[in-house]
Amino acid sequence: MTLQQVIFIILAIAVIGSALFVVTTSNLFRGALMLIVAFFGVAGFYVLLDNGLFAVAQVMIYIGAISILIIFSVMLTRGMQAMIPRNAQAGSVAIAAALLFLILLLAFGPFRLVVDLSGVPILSALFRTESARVLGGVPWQFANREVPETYIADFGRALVDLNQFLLPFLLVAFLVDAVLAGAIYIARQRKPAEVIAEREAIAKEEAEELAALQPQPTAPTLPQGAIASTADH
Amino acid sequence: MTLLIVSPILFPLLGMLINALFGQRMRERVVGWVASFAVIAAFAASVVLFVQLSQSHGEPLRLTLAPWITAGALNVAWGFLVDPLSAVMMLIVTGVGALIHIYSIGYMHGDPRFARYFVYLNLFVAAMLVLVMADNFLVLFVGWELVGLCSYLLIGFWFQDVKNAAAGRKAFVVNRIGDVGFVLGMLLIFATFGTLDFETVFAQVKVRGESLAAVASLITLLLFIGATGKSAQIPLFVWLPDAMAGPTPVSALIHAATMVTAGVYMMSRAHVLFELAPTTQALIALVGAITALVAGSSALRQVDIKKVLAYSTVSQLGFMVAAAGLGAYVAALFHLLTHAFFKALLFLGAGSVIHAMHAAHGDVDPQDMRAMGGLAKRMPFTFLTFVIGGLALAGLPPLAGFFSKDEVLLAAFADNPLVFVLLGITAAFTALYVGRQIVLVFLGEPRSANAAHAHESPAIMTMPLAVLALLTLAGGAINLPGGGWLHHWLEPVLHEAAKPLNVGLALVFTLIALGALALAWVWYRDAQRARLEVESALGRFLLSAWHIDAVYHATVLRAFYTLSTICSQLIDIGLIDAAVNAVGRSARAAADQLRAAQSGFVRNYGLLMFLGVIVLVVYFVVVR
Amino acid sequence: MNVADLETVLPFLLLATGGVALLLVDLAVPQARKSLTGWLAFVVALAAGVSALALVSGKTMKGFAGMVQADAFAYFADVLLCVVAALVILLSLRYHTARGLMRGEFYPLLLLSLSGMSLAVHAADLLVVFLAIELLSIPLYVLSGFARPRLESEEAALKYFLTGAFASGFLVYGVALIYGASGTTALGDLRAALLDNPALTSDALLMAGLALVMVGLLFKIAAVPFHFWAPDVYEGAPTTVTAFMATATKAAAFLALMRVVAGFAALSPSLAQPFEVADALRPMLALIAAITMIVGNVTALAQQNVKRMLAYSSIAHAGYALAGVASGDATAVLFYLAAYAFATLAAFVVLIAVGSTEGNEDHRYEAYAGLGRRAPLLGVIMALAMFSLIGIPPTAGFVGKYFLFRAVVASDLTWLAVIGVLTSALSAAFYLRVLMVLFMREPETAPEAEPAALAADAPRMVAAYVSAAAVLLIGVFPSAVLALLTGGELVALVR
Repeated sequence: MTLQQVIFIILAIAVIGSALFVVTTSNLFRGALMLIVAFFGVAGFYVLLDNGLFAVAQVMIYIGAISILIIFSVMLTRGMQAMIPRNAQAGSVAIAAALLFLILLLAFGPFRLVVDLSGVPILSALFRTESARVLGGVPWQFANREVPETYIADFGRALVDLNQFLLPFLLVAFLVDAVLAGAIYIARQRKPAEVIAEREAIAKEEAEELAALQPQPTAPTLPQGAIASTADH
Repeated sequence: MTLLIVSPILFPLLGMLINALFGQRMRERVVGWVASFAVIAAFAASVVLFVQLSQSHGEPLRLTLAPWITAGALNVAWGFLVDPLSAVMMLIVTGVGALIHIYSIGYMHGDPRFARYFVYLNLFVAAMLVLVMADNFLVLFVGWELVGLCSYLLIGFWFQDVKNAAAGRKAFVVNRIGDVGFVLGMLLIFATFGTLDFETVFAQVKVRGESLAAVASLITLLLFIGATGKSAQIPLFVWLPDAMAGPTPVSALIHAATMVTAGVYMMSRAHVLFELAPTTQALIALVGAITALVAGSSALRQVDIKKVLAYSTVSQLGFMVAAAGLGAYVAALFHLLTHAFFKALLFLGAGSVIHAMHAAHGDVDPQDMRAMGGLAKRMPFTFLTFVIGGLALAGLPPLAGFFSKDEVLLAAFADNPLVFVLLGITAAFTALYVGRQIVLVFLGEPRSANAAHAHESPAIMTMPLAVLALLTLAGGAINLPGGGWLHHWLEPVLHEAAKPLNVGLALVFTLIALGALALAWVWYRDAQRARLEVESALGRFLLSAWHIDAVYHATVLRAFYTLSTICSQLIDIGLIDAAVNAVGRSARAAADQLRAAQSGFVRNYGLLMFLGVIVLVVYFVVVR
Repeated sequence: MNVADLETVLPFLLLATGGVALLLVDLAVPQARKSLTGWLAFVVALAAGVSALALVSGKTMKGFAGMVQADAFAYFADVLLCVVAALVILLSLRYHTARGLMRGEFYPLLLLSLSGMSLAVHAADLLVVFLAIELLSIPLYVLSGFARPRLESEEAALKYFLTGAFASGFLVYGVALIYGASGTTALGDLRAALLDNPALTSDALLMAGLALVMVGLLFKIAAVPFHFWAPDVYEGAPTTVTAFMATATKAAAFLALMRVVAGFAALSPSLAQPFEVADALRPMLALIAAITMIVGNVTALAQQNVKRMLAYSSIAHAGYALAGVASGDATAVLFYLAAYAFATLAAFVVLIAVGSTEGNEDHRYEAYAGLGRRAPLLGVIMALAMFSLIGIPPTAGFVGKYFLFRAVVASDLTWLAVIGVLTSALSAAFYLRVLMVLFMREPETAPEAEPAALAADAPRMVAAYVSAAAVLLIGVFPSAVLALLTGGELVALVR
């Protein structure tokens, strides 16, 4: 086992562990902190892959900007911390995720697996499965290519080179523009009186609707994270 | 050239478009004259085409505007044809049409839907021209259906009165029955000849000749069923008398001069086919003659001024159809032409009378002849022209009707004694009801306040009367006995030899007509007789046109209602609806199940999407 | 800079730069005159549409190092998208004023989203597919929530964003896997690689990547089981945005989907021309199409709200178009999408007219009672739209379904065509119910909206006439539309 592999395993445990903590914890603030750990782990992967640029970008953007933003939002919306999130679907989602992971593991993993469905009655009739499928045993190639010294400059040039990635770069620019415009629209402050009047009208309307729907006076508490539609389905 | 050939159709369409778009905002006069000038322009274009045709000695002008249907073997184009036959029809349609448009400006004055009336009327002229200028059966059928539509719209023009709307519906339904025959005939033509083109079909008929006799009998029979609908022959004539619910100029144009003659035109156009089928020919002649007699006798006891003319029209159409059945197509078309003149004249005259009766405020039905009388003094011009038209209808020389009717009788005399007898009796009836009508309407003393206070109609209405009266006076000249101009003109199309005048026959029928007119004067000088005779059994029988409507009600309609009841109650509600409802209920149940999946919770959606992802990945990686 | 490269994405460039410029211009437009921004956006959309129309030719060109492809299909879609967007802008002017939504940001965001769509239909590279889909989606997330602080609208935006981000994750993951397996993201190179290297055709990595890319695209067209967002979002979003999403987004995502499918056409050794769908993909596409048709139509039956019914209708029609994708006939699919887009837009004209009146926006069936008699023009337009959506001649929907089912039968998927016809028959039940309510039912309470208010808006009437005319004209003269699609000849979606 090389040193690289040891570091990889440590990083992987850190990433998976912190990610698991993020999705299971009921404390948003701690979750946000553990997210930073996970991001750091990913930055470590980039370093292992000899890509310093991406590692720095990961740290600056995901940790320096996004995580901090999350922490700010959590601290600014203190009311949310008091709520106890319940998710009745945690179990089923976990099973589904595990299932997908298993399939991908089988498909890309080191074990070779032959699947022959040509004899299965319904499937073979529906999907014309003439031949057997081979799963797993993917001969992963480990390219030990030297990373050129000038790769950062090359990367920069590729982004503005007409014959390489100019169009995606341009697209990202417009995308960012759209995101900014949208974000500003969503975040823009409107005249308080206007908002209050509107909110009141809507609240009144909804209270009436709710009263019509449910005779009992106590409004049900909605679980956090659930965005329930008030309309019919 | 291209434009010239279709211009008779385009002008009325243009007029229609202008009035349809801006008619609401234009003054009445402008609307009327736009429509009238559109038809006058179409008439001028027809005249130009006519002159060109005569210079080229009847060599037809053809124009294929655009391909229309190209489906497998079926190739139909928007093709138009101007040959001597269509040229005559075009002149009648646009000429008489123009006069009636002008007349309508006066007659429809003050109607709230004045513009719409002229839109329909222009559309009708365009459609009728499509019908007569078509160079294949399908385009002809397009015109055939379009004129039917216009007829329906105009009969029910005053649809506020339920009676009028019902009359329109009746015309529509009855015509549809005939159309089924026509469509079947057309399909059979296509199946037999592989084309619907006139020229190709008729050329093939000439080549294949007798071998086609059996199928030709069937085709012509089916086409004739179509003709009985449009040209109001037994058994489908019942819609035409009711069609008088429309405005009177419409009755004159559509239900006397042009549309109803479409069946006669179609039979002349397809005469090559009909000549191959002597059995159908004999049947056609007989049906025409019987229709002439039934309708002619029914006209004897009508009390509505327009109903008399309506039954008279059916009767005269019977003459034309009988002539076509006898193979005397020139006679049929000649009678069509003269009838267009004098019947339009009579209708417009009747319209003038109704207009006057209506304008003079009173409480009687303005169309009831029993309430008229003495109008000759109050409306001298209308009286004069009406008499000219009436005498032409009665067949007195030297008016147009004399020559054309004589030719039909002559053809029957030579070929088919039974038809001749029937038509002969009808001719006597014709003179009798014409005399009765003139006496009741114009002579004697006024029998109501309306009649007493009637005034002559305005010049815009009397001018067309004058023109038509002149045509009626001189119209016979275009086909004098023994091979007149019309005979030669139609020679390239119909290849028919002219018959010489039979002086004896002409004399006998002139005397019969004079006698009948005299009898009418003797009988109806005292209007009391007209009042009483409708009360008798014979009177009721004739007034209701031999109770044919009642017979239809008791047989066809009742059977039909019974069948519908069975279909609607037993089959539809009991069987089909029940099945459909069952399917619908299960679909709804399924829908409620599916709705449950739409919970509104994003995490549910996420989970379900996740499952979809797994299915897709498994399929692509493992199964496919 | 090569001019030919720019020409291949000219509509995109016009729309994107127009959108950004409009963001700035809007700052100078006073709040009371925001419709001016709308008119400017209208001009930009029309200009882009005209440029696409001018560029239509039988030729196929590639640009930007093979990342985009300009062919008849792409330009046709461009024209369709721009016309739809222009009509939506016309519809929005009065509606936004009435609903208090007349804010300048709407139009630049709409144009940016439209530019993403325009690029998506030109995409010849999975990277561009992903970025274009993002560019069209992100403004839509905001537009769905444009009516904030109305809860339904905010809820729609959040739902759309969450599920959309979820789907985008799969899409970009799939692109990464495909790149890992084949070393390229260009669809043309991918096709060549599959033909050169048969071993690649059974590569699990590549197939997993394809599956995930498909998930991302099927989400955008709202195919079952990736459709759950659609009813909630369509109902909650402002009606103009719903109209835009239901018509334009769908058309753009479908062409992108077809290009991806065509890129993988070489998966099966039996590559039967003229179809550009691998035998390996066809059964799954057909299955999803069938389920989508059934679920969409059956669920629409149970709806009590016209707007929500139209959302399910859009799902059902995605199923029909997906059946066309399974048959491999891109011409039939694009024709169908055009027919569907105009019919749906015509229906939304009525919804927006109703939503433009004073009072709360109410799209329950009861709220439409007797509307056809109070506002006959709207009634007629709704009738046309419903007839076209059912597929009754002589409307566009009939011809569209005819071409589509013909293609489906020709590709040996008769069972799918049968399901399509049966579900179409079923769909008549809920489409005709709208007309029944419109014309035959009396309103329960005195109508709040005066007919005059319903018909007074000139831009909306123009949109109404244009969409209704399109429904009829496409139905009567389908060959004119086919001419834009190179007369129905085969154009390689991927080179």
